[in-house]
Amino acid sequence: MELRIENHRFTPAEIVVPAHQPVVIHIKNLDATAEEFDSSALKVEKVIAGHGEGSVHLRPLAPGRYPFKGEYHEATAQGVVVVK
Amino acid sequence: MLGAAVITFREVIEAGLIVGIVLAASHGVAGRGRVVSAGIALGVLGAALLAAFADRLNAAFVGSGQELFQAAILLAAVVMLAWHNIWMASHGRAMAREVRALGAEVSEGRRSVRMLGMVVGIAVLREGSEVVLFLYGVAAAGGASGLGILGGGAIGLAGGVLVAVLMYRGLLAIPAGRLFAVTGWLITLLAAGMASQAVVFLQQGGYAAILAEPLWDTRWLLAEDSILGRLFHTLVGYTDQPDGLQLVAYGATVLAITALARMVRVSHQRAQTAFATKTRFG
Repeated sequence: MELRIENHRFTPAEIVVPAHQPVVIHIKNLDATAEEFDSSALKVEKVIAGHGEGSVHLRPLAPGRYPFKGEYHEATAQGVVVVK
Repeated sequence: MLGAAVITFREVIEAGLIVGIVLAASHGVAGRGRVVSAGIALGVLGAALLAAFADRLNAAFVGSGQELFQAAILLAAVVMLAWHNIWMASHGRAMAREVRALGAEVSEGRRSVRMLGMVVGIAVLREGSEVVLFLYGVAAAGGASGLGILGGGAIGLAGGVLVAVLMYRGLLAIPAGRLFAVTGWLITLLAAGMASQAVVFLQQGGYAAILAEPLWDTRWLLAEDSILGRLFHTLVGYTDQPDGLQLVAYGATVLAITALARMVRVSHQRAQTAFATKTRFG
């Protein structure tokens, strides 16, 4: 699954993944400065450098909504992983 | 400005607690102030370098190298904390009675304090790199608000220093005879929490996709994300949704450190008794 950070926002802000399957999210930061992809629901925390990228491995998830945020720009960097 | 202060404070709390515990645990060892200061300075330098070269390191870190790095330095810190406790098991009593210049014991004390200094450096490196990246991003955006946010960062840092001072003072209020038992336990739980944290990074990086299902959820009781939650996260390794592998790592670390320390203490006492007996009747 691909996720982009642009202008301190996540695109797409809502990611849909299948339930009970491990998923990898590739995050690309198009901004010039770093962002920290952070979600306590997903148990994920990763710094993505400006113009950088990285991947996070999600455990198999039960159906539901799992919010995530960009810790350095919380006001605008918000998103959710929807598990169906 | 307030937002920057809060974000910075949240990151440096962990390092502040560790500095306070390390200072109390090494109370009485000559030169430990210098060692801990060096640890902090090196950690800050490392954090600045990590942040400055984040772009270049990113080529190596693309994918999941960052998680491997985080897990590796956390596990290195676990080993150093364990080493300190095991050293204390054989020399703790001498420490509690104010260390005199006892040659080998003092140099071993210094080695043990250097271990703690490195643990401080690792903690400052980890938290510091996030703070540096955050503040740099803000400063790069420029403008008058940039200065205000840097000021907020300074306030957050001062808050971290306050946490370290409060932890240290609070621990020193404990009577000297019990201080090393208490710091010993704090260090064991600190190490166990770090081992549990290392596991989460390995799982996030796809290196340990086993026992990853959260076993319970105590976010209603205390959210790991809150300030109090972060304090407990560092102090005792509290996490609101622990998975099986985290519990295994936590338990194994506590068991390993206490068992090894006990073995060393018993063997040291036996050696002392044998020596005393020999010199009396020899």
